[in-house]
Amino acid sequence: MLMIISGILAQSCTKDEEDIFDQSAAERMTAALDEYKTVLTGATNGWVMEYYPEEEQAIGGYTFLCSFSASGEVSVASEINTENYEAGETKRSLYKLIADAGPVLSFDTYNEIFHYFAEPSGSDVDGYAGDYEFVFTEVSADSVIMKGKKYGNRIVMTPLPEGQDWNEYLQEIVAIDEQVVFGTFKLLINDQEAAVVEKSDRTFTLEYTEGEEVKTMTAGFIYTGTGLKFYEPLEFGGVVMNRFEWDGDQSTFICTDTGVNARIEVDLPENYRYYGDYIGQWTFYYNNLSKPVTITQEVRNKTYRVSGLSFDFLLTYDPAAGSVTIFAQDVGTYNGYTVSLCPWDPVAGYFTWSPTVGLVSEWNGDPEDFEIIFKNNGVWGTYVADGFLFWMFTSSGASAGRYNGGESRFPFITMTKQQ
Amino acid sequence: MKRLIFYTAIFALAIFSWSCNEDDLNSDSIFDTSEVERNAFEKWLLQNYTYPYNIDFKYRLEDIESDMDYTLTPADMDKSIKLAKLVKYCWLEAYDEVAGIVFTRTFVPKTVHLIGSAAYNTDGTMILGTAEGGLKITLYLVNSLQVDRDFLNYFYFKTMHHEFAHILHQTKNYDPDFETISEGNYIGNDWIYSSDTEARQAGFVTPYAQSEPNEDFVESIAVYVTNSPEFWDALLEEAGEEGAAIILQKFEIVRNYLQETWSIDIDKLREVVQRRSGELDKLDLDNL
Repeated sequence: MLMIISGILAQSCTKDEEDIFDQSAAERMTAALDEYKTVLTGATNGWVMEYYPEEEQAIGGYTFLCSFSASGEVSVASEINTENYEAGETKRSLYKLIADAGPVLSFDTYNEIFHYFAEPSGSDVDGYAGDYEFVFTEVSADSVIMKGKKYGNRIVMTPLPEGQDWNEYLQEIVAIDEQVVFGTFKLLINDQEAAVVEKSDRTFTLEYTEGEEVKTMTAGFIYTGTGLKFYEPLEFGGVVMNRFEWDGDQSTFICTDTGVNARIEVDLPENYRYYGDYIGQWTFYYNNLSKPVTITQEVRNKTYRVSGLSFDFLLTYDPAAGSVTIFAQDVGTYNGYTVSLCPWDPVAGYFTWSPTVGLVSEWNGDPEDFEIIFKNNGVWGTYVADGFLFWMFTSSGASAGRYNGGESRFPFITMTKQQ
Repeated sequence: MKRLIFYTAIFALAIFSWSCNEDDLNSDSIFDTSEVERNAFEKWLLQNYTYPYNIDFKYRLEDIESDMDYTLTPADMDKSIKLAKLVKYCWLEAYDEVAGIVFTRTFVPKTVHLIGSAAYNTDGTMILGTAEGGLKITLYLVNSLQVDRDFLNYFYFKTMHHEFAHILHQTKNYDPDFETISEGNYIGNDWIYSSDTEARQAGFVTPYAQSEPNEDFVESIAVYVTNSPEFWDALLEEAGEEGAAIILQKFEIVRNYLQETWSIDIDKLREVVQRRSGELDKLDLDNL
């Protein structure tokens, strides 16, 4: 004990340390917060924020536009639709610059647009793991680089040019997002196929072989008004790629980095059909019977409405496979009962209302005579969904028998498109 | 003896370090002493929460104040204004009316923190509200606020009376006989598996009251004051003869505790709380 004391005493009389900074830590913090606020409010047309939710950019990036006022308000718009706001609409809330472990920007009152990715739910307790508190790492009038406090993604903001309309800017991004409906691509470097690319949300997973070994690599990206940009430049086979432009006619992303010849080209599966191909008049065959039906657009690139049978029902488009699926679904009411379309195994005599069970289309491959056969999608265990029933249920979900107001049994379905 | 040496050493160290210090004190405070800019709501809060009750009503999310184990969203400002007015009228002023503002000011938690979302647990349950050591109360789900008596009671007022009752018994404890009445019937975390009826038949006002005696005690208060006399009678009926007898035996201790320790007549408190929560449509919740 006494040894330690004498050690401390000796220490206490050494020469003064030179101060590294002119100001104390607290003074520097206050000065930084003031300076950052000046920078944030200085971009008169607001900032483009490249926002990545989820750890490791697991669903890629999304664009917000943010404009900060000196009185502490922030206006936010985005390229996504939320419950009450369409892409391009703005919503105001408050922001604050606070001294935390470092200077932090906090969006500290609710903004339905901005907090979209942070919204938790009972079935997904961390939502899309989106940050709304950011630690500043580099700040200048040309760019602000921050780090999400909880999930750690880098968030970059650059000023939106003066005179650029917010909604127009965002709609360009929406347009790219809507065109890129495909799931499978291939990466070509110097016109040589280098990897198979699977797209999921806004990430690409590259699959390639090295010697005998099959390897994968995943990269998050964000859509720009003309194409995409990677979170970290994609490095593959000695080539570094960052920005790509979307060519809608060829369904191909073309690298725009100088000196790089690379493209990510859609790789359509065999017998691929586009969303629009399915819209029109069809003949619906079941067993040895047939009915005329009409397929119309419900949600573009996602679903269709089929009318002509006892009830209308929805068809779901799979942009990766170019096929359509009839899933189990509620289709209407009859005599106080809910009527559901239930996938059915006509051979075994069973049906199901599990919403993932369905019948998926298979094209015969004949471009002259567009015919599709509906087959089991394979998620119903040992049963084979090879048709469907209209079945009635009570409000508490109890089975109330087969629908008896019209035709209700549709086994072995094929459809042909009328010329 | 060791302690004496240690203090001596610190003392000596203090003298020595003093003797070597040549730096002047910086005349600037390290805290920002410039006047805080307040928006209209913040000025209202100063007048209606901070000055009369010494409560810091935090409607802006402070990560450091929230539970980092949960992903939460901040509260919407317009909803926060509504809730601030409702809490003042239905909760703070109810206690003012029954026990005087000095009582309310003394025991009320010093921080109220609003959260926009719920705090969801992975087991499918969610947290309605939390109180920490009588100092802070956190209210969730503000963005889903409905100005509806049942909604407010379920998500806020029952929780707030519950937490306030914790502060009271932590300040002055209740008769230990209370714990003996249902001794052996407390089931800890398994309360989530029981229904209202099962709990009542076992002699508890709610399933959660079965978790442990302190919760049992404060649930009795919260359920009693946030519901009508008819509800209480129906609850006793649901409990059956045996269950009702246990509930009433415990409630007698609750009633006496509030009367004798805090001079609060629980029937009067219920009457005031019920009257005030029936007057929601008379409040202007939108304008400050």
